[in-house]
Amino acid sequence: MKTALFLLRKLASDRTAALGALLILMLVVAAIAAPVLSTHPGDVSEFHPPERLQGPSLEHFFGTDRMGSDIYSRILFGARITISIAVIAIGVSVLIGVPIGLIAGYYRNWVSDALMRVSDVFLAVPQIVLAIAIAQTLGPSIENVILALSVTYWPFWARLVYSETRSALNETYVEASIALGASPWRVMLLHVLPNISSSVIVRTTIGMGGTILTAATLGFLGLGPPAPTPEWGRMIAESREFLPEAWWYATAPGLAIFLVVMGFNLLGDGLRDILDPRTRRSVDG
Amino acid sequence: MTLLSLKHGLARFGAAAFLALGALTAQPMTAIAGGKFVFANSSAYDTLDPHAVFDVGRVASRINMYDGLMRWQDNPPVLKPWLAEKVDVSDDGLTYTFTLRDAKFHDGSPVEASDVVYSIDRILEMKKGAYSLFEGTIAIGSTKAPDAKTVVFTLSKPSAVFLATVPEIYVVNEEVVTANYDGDDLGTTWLSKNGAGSGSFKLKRYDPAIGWQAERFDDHFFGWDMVDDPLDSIEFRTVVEINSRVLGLMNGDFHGTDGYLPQDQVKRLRDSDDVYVDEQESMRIFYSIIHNGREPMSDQNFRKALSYSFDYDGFINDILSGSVARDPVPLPNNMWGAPADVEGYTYDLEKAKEYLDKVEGDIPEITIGALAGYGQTEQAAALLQNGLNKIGIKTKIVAEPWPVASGKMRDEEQMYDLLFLWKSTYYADPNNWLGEMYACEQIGARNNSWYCNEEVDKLLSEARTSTDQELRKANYEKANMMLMEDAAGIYIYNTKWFGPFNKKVKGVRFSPIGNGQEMRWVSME
Repeated sequence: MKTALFLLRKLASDRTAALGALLILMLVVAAIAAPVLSTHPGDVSEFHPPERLQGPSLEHFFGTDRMGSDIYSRILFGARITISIAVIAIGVSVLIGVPIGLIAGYYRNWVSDALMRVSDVFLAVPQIVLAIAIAQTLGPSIENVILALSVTYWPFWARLVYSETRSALNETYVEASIALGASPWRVMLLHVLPNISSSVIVRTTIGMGGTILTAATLGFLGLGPPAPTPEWGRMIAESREFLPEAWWYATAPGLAIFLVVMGFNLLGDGLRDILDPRTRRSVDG
Repeated sequence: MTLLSLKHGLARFGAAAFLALGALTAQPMTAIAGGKFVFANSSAYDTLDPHAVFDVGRVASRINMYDGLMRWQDNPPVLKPWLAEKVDVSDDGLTYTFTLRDAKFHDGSPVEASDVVYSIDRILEMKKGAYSLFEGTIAIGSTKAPDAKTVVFTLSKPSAVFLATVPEIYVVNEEVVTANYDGDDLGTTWLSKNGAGSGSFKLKRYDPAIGWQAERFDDHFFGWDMVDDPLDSIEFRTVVEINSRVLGLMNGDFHGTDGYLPQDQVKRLRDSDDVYVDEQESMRIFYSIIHNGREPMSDQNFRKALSYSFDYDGFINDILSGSVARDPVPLPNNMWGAPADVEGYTYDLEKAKEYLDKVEGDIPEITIGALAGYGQTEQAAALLQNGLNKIGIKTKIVAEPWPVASGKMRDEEQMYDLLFLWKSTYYADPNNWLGEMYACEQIGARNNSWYCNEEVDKLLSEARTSTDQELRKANYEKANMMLMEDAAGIYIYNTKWFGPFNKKVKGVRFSPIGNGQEMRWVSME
């Protein structure tokens, strides 16, 4: 509780991090309250061809799309998809990557080597290429995007936790608890993990931005959820046919992605400053 | 006895050379180097082998670099003798004797009857591309070359459409292809990136990722006298992004692109100073395949409910800005055999519900297929989903790229419940649509609806084998009505072609077969 309060106070004093937190808060509110905030909640699955491609107006804040649906409402509902993809994919990556990193870091045997070489294989292929290959093979859907992202993201956490664990093992408090006869699991979970959690939190926050961007890329390439799902990347892909005349069509989802990714990056930077002073930005140093 | 003379073909030529351009504001924006025409192609040329593919997206390599015995030209399409000087058909309709003209391959050797025999046998052996047109009608080895100038085709059963499909027998140079066999691959590896034809243009460069370039073949049999200033070279470059094609056309990088762009882009091109849009009636229907072999689509009532749930007016008038014509039957309405004054299905959810109530049993989630990257199919799928949603049918849209979808179309289990797509003209005969889409013997090959209705099938097979034009016409009209009544598919529209070209480009001859991409008639100012 104390640490949480401390964190919040620190965050509030860091203006850019606070801006990031605010943007993410907006995303969460948009996702939860989409049915209330949207002006045309039915437009996720309802179309009005006679009203297609209308510019921004009081009736349609961000204009209408190729089917005559309200883009503003669709973006709000799209926030739900974005959040669920990012949270689940990152959650799974953390759940896979952190234990692997811990085990590989703690033990110094062939199991550790094998785990790290496997994660090296994943890291050797550009993450987006691997995700495209997986999503393409399995077919376009939200579940497959989440799967593709989880499968390709976990090695980042495994690597991070591995190196952090290795350095934590040299610390006196770890040596002391091992000397006192603590079991490997006890050392890993009660002594190492809490002390490396700050780096994991920072990586996770920044990773959210990257995941959202990758998910939007997959959607843009047609590998995300199929039409008429209001996925942001897919909305931009749809709008290409109508550029530059219908500029609002691409601009609105583009801005949404930009703001959310920036939000996570700003917050991640702020958290790193607070939690991990070693890599603090030089301006503050 | 049918006799088509070359003179007849030549006489028709003059008319199409003229093209109304409106006021020409001729102020060259970018210089064109030596009459080179650059066409921005929407899909990639993954192979140049004329016997490996049979689609409209990759027609230009076949039609420009290879010749067939006959050729479809102009609009409405007319079948003209091409490499052949004349053709004699026996009275029983089983023997076709073609007499070849003097023609040369690109390597200078003469085009001989043995090359034609080799080409048809190669198609039949490869079992790819246009193979399904000849399967069952011509057997391997049945085609003979009594002398260097005479080819005799012997059909194993009468076919009213054989002549119409002859243009797809592109003649390759037997000597060159056989010299490049890799094992028993029939030269497919080599011919996929090299040329061995006699066509108006000779391959110069090819890269599957970029496209291909070809130079004018001065020794082409047809000669070049009819065109004042023929093109020196042509390039078909792959440009997948619609916006890149349109912008490239507007700033003069490209001189032409496909004529089926979204209307919003056509409007943009029309407003541009350097581009004109050639508008033509075409033959390319847009419809949804219904998997008739699977429940609940096997129930006519359910199919009728589907047909009443599509917003035809909204799609045609709003989404496509009225640029196409409603076509309630599976045959282009400007093709003979299409019944006149048909009242098709309308967007009527009350009627849809009525028919839905007659369907017994639970209705599972229906999968609607669309072609990824083809916005129109996705929009149509979404519109149908909207309608079905309102009468309480749950649906799921799956958009997959054409190679994936066309693979699934041939598999009864994998085929989508519904799939939106176009059916283009490969040869101008009603069999191109009805006969292939709904004949029982085509199930799994070109009949992707798994639709087999004895009565319809009888009409179609009678029309396919008869030479009595009146009977054929009557049969097709009747089959159209029955298919519509039976709601075998959801029939939506027939396309117009809006071919955008740089204003310097003259002499384009549009034909629904080849889509105006036969470049030998074209010149540039």
